[in-house]
Amino acid sequence: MAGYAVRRLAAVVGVLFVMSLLVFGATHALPSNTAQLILGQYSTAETQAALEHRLGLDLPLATQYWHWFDGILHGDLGQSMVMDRPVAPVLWDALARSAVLALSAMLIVSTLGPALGVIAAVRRGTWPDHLATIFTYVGISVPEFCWGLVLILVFGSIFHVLPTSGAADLADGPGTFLAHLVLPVVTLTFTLLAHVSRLTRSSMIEALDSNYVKVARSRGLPERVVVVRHALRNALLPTITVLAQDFGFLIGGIVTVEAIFAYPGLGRLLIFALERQDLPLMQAAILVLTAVYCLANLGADLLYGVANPRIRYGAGHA
Amino acid sequence: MRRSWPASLLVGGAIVILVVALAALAPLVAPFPFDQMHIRDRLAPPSLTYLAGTDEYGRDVFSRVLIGSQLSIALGLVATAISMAVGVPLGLFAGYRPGMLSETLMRALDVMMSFPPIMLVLLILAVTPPSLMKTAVAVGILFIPPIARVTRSVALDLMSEDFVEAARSRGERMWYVLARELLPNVWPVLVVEASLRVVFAILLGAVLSFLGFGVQPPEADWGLMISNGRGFVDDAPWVALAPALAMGLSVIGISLAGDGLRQVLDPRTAGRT
Repeated sequence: MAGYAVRRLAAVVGVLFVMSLLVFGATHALPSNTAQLILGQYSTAETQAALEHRLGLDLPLATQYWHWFDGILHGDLGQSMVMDRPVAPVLWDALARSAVLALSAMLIVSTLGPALGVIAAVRRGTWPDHLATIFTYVGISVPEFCWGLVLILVFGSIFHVLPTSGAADLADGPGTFLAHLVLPVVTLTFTLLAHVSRLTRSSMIEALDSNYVKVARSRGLPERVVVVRHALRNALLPTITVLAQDFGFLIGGIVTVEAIFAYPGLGRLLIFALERQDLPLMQAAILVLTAVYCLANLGADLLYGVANPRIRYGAGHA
Repeated sequence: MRRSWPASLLVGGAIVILVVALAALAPLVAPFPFDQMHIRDRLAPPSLTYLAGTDEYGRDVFSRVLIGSQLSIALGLVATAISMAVGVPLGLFAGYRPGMLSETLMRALDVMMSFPPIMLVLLILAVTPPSLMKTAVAVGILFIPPIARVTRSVALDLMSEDFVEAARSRGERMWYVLARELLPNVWPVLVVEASLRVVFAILLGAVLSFLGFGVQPPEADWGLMISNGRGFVDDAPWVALAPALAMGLSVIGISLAGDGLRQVLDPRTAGRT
């Protein structure tokens, strides 16, 4: 298990390295002229050349990459070209705000999702199950920005009960802080909740039909014990994997949700960087998002190994 | 043995046929050209003239939603076609001949899948000026690894079947076994997978144009219309709601049809969800 964890961690480092090459290569293939972008279209060739020199844009690509990579290893993410200040503090602030969104959504999904799935499986064929099935269908199919729009319309435009854009700091009071979180978090939660509850339902149904559950029932154990101790423990294994996948999905969702609710997180920062072609900001944001994604997947795989002792790591699996 | 068609296939199929028909006939059905402006009727609410109201330039939202369906469907189909055209042969080969080459191939695809999906596409689109075709290609590339994986796992199972053994001991060449023995038996799973991919591609494409990295104005793309309508949601909710509804309906239709197809073609995995 320890060996496996080390190998997986090495793989994550490898992926990040490849991503750093990709990001660097791609952003330097950008057709735009950064110096002109910063100085405006009326700048002269001399001032552009001077700025390029100051930013190190006239150095060979390999040297630029090395400077950048070396900086990252020392925690220096470079200087934002558009905002003209260090990337790191801006990025960490945005990451913290995104983390609040993502973790709140994950907390709701990982508790409510399995619960809904179990209820639907135990009450299979009754109206709570049908309701849950319809909900999961709609939830999985309709993208976040459609949900977000509907929520804005209902809670912002019609009832005026919740703020529909921006974020608040804790200093503004816990009520204001939470109010700004409600709509983005609910929007993020919808799709994932549908996904997780649907999966839990199907693996729970499979477990309830299995022989060990029949044996447990025939021994005269109370239904509660059969459901929770015997069926649920086995049914939750695939749910753990899917929760991990969903964390990756969440990172994509966060970009959209932050855009629709004008929430100043990492996703919005990335879009800002891409739109303004701010290379250092773009590179740092993509790298940090990729790192979070890879580490989340790693964490989930390890958790799965702990939860399921039948797995033997080492042999290649398809 | 002939079984009755599952309800999800009937309902989903009906929605898909309706959406595709409307998309195909859009220029005939749409009451106005998608870019015709009616300056005096800006942000007009839904009426008999403008069935879904007008946007901030006085363009008919209903006509734009109809025309927009062509873009979404085209994107979904082209992206899926690209991922299948590359992914299926890769997967078949990896299943047919396990070894260094296949192993390297699958590991490379694993690496591709370990990036957050939206990052790769954003990276491709941010580097070059956006367009519909480029979005389709980017999404298509993104979907190659999952298609190759599914194909490979089914092909691996099939390799131990008697009819494959027979073909190989007859001395058939590789391409014959791949195309004539493996492919026909893989396709039921692939059809289901493809229908899923079309949905994902449409959704991802809409997200990208919503973020401003896909289809560009003044095209009538759904994602673009929703992002644009976000600004008027207080005064003119129909601008954003109409494309959102169209999008939800189409996607639910294709998902239902895909589920139904799975029950018909691949009963082993059906009924689990």
